[in-house]
Amino acid sequence: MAYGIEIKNGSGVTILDGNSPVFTEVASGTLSVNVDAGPCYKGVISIPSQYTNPIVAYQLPVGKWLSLWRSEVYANKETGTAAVPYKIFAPVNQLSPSGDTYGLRIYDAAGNLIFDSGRLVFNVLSNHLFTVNASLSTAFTNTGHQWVLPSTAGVRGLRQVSSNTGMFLGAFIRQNSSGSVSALIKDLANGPFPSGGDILTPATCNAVRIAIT
Amino acid sequence: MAYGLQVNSANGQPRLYENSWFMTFHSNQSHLLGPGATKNVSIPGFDPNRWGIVHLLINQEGTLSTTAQGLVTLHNGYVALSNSGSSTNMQFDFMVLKGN
Repeated sequence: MAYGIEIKNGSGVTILDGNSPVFTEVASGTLSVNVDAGPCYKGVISIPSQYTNPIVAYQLPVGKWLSLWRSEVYANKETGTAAVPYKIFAPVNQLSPSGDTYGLRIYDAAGNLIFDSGRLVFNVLSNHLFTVNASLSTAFTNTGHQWVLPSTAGVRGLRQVSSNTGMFLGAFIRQNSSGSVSALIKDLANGPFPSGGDILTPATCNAVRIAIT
Repeated sequence: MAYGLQVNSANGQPRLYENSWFMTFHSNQSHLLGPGATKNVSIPGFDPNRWGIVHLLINQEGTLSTTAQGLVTLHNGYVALSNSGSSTNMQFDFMVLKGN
């Protein structure tokens, strides 16, 4: 950048680059996942229409297999109904400045708000690399949390089996600085859990756990 | 933290600190691929040294067969799209987020 602000941590890693808006919380609630047509249980999160490029995070109730796709949360037959806490985030430049009378606001060169200490943002707590293979049988653990991709054919989602902290971002893939990562894309017409109806490409994926600050 | 910048909200909640790991909005794109098509899409301005996410907003046209499938891969500097179905167009809408 030619001018402005760039914030790095003690390791030289860029935290804010002065150009890109952070995502800030714009809504939250608890979604009821109920019986839907076909084999799925489903709930749809209502996203306020004034926000473009929203991103949704949800909290996995312990013991529930769930899959998040855009604003839709799916459960399989074994999971059944579920109450799923969620939060919606949008780029902070789509909001007016907070009411805080002190703190820090950062604007880009065009005068768009990209950070406001009066707004809630999310931080990445950890990311979890796992491989989805043909048998769909895999698991990963991290700091006392276990996330499981169930092994039952046609049942695809994530389940947290122990204590539940943080929230989870869905419908994404990621890369790290050294390579590429692939992802599953599901068949929206059939939902994520039908027998043979959704999309499976053997792939390495990441789950991202976040905290709201 | 021994040095650096920490910012709290007006009610004292930390908003920015040394270990902050934000995801920020970078850009979004939309591409329509026919059956069997593949496409590499460049992401102007994306720093391959930074952590990234492609947030998928996939739409589809027509009725999908049960064998329809797609694949999105984020590489260093570009996104590879693939519609490996045999009969249905796929609309790939996605946004790119970048982190630390």
